[in-house]
Amino acid sequence: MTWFATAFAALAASIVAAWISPARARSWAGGCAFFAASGLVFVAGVEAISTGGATFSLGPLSLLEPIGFVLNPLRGLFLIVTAVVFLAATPLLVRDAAQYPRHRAALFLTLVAILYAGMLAFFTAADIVSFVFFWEISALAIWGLVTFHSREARPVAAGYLTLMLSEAGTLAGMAGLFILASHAHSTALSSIAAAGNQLPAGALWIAFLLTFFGFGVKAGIVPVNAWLPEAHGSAPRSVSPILSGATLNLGVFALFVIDGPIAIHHPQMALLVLFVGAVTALTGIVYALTERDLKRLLAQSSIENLGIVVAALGAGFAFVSLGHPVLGAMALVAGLYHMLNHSAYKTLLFVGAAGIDQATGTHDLDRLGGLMRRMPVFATAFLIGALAIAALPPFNGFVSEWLLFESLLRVVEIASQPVRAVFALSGAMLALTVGLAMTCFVMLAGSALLGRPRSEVVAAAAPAPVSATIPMWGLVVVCFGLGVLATAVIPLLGGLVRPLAGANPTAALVPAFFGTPHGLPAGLTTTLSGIGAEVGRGVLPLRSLVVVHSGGAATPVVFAMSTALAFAVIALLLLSTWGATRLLRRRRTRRVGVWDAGLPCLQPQMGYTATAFSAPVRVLFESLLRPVVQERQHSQGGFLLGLERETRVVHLVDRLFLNPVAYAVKAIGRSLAWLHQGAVTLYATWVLATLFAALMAMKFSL
Amino acid sequence: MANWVAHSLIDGIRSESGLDAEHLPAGATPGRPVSQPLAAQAAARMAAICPGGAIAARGDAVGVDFVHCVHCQRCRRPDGDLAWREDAQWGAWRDAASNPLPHRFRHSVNVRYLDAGACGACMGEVRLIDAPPYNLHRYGIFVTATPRDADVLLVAGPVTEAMRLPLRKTYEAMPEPKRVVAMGVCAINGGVFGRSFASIGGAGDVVPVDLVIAGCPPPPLAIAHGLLLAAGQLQPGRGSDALEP
Ligand code: SF4
Ligand code: SF4
Repeated sequence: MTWFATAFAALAASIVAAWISPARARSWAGGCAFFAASGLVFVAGVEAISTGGATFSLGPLSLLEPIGFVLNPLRGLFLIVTAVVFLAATPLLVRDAAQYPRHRAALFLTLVAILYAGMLAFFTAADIVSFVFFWEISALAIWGLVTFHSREARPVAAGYLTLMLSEAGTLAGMAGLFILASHAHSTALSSIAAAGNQLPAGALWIAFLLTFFGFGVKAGIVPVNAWLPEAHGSAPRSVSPILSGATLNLGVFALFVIDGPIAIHHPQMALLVLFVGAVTALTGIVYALTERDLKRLLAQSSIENLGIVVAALGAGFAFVSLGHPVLGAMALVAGLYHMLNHSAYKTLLFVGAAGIDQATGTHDLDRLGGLMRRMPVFATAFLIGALAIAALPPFNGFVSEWLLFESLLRVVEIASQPVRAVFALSGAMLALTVGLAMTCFVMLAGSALLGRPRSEVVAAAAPAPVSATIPMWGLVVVCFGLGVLATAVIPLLGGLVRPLAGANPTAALVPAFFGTPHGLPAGLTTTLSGIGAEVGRGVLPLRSLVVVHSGGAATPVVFAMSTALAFAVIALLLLSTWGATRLLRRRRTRRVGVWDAGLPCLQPQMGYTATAFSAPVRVLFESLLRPVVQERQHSQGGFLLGLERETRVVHLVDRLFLNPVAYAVKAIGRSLAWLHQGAVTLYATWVLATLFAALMAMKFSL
Repeated sequence: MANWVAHSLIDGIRSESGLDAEHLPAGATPGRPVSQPLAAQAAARMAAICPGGAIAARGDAVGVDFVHCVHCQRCRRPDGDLAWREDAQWGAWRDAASNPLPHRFRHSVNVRYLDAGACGACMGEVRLIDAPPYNLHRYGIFVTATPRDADVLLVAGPVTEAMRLPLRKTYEAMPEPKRVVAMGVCAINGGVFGRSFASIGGAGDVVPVDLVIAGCPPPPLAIAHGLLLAAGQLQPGRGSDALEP
């Protein structure tokens, strides 16, 4: 607890340091304070997970009701993720801040500190007041940061869009919370969650939908995610990692603590969460494939990943609500695991995007290329990030997606056909998503790192900034660790989901192959120890290296997976192949240039671009994307001077949701315009009439 | 229309059986002038009318240096005085040090054709080597589009200035072992184009040539002969004895 409180002191110190310290030391002072705060929060999180946490309140300080806080293991996990993301982004923040003039640098660091503090407080909020208050603080800080970099039309519009959706979401979520709280007669989140069952079905549905879509704005679920790519596209490059890696978890947290306790009793709600998550994931990745801008692409992919997280949580709630707590806990573990993974590799990739921007001045994929040769250490880390997010073993993305799909397949144990249909449909969409994600990140890595530079700025790129490379390698270690040590992470997460799901899936997912005595079914041991499940027994302080999903009565099959053993096999194969070729090779290798069809030199335009790579996918999803193509001819007399072709893709959500809403609001506004004649007396009449109507209404209804 | 099986059964085998002079059908080769005894006066006349400078009068005989013949047909009977030999064994090694590809390439040779400024006739003949009558696939000789796969570089044309770099790069892009075959007198010594500011006058100035197929243009069977020599399927010297150094 003291650790946690000290972190706030460190953040306050960073604000003070940013404003009073001399020009040269300013950003460094702020950076050191961020480092200290991240370290403290990390320790506090670890402490909360290991000891079970504590409750505390700001009663004496507040003017209103006592504002309560609680630190339990689940919240500890969110704190740790936040701390790691900020830790990774701090070097870039310091570097960016140093580029701004005096007061703007201080303002920048202050906004980041406020965002950090707001998030920390939010993740420990125990009642509605603190929950909404710190949610708002974070939302405003995000808005400030999104529009911080420039006053141009686009970032400002992106900022307003962010603010608008976020405020609308907060209002909706707050309304939902009030409905819940009025029935619970308490503002504490824990009692709200418990009171969910006493509500009449209609009110509960309204409260659920309001909180799910309202707080889902921050998790980027369909249809309230229009702000996400815009905000990431225009936010300062050093802020993007935080926006994507840390702030999206705010929405996951809200879903977990507010909607989770409701949905675990109502299968329809849980299935809605699952379905919305799957749709979000699919639209996210399809739109990611149409992007040429590195940062916007990563933002769309964040939508995809958060969609997967939401779908996994929805599947978990559904299983729990249908009476399968262990299965539900497995899916919840998959969801939390995917959230961890997303924070790790998306922060890595966004830090990489910032580094690329720093070194080349562009994040247009069609202008990048050839970075692998120019900055190998940096580019290797970026490539590993792309491998991880494409869910390739032995990295972390694979583990959580494997867990999720195995959980979805277990729906065969539920007899209800509609439930099976929703699971099957969502599973199919998620499978398509994962396949497209692979395409997307092959495209990303291929067009940014390989080939030849497609523009002069990239050919003349500066070396990669160390402030990006070092955090990236740190995150590579995290990605690798979360991948290979899956059997150490799952028990941890299993403990965290138990309060909600009512069961701990650890024993089922990670059988104690290394334990003595096993206590495992004999069939399982004989099947799996034959293929190496007991390798490392007595040496490693783990339960086992193998993650298992054994089907129940309906599917008597055991699915087993081990990233650690897979990694060992891959490494062994690669090493032995390499060694064998070294030993057996007799001839000298001849290296010649790239075959360029005999031209004097390969032109950058001849390379394969991201746009060309994703063309098949865009053609496939044409009916979904509905690109608008504009062609303009420039001619003089009879001569055609040039042909301009512009393709604009209006996002599905804009097309089907935001634009209709905007049109409707405008139409209502137009139809009410006759009320606004401009005469003061008329307005006074309206006010009086309204007051009168309100008073009459109160009089007669009471 | 596309019934290949029926067509091939009805038509039977169309490919030429070999390169021997006895088996050649009429018109398969235009023939070529060869060294022969000739009255001194006629010999001098022939040497004078030859535009390529291929004919040299040597007393009571003419010597024909075939690599300079541009096939103008002026020396051929009945207009001229020379008897022509109707054969297609026109391939010849550039010098004594040249040798075919190693033995394991005998039945698998990939050829990359490079048009280094040819007039078009050489190209027309090369296109025929894969056609049914010649059908070089049966010898394991394939035409490839990329030098990375190629074992033999078949160059036609006098090598224009613009094609110097592509020729050089193509040669360098080919893996070892590799052979260069210059086909047509243009690729051997510039032919009718000679040397000029725009024409280098032979592939030998840019890449090391191993084998030449003279003629303007050489017929498909002659090209086949040259490629078979390069592949090591024919014994060196055979059929090329008529060529004078
Ligand atoms: S056919 Fe050849 S050898 Fe005869 S005259 Fe013409 S160029 Fe000379
Ligand atoms: S050798 Fe004769 S046919 Fe071949 S390119 Fe030269 S001029 Fe044309």
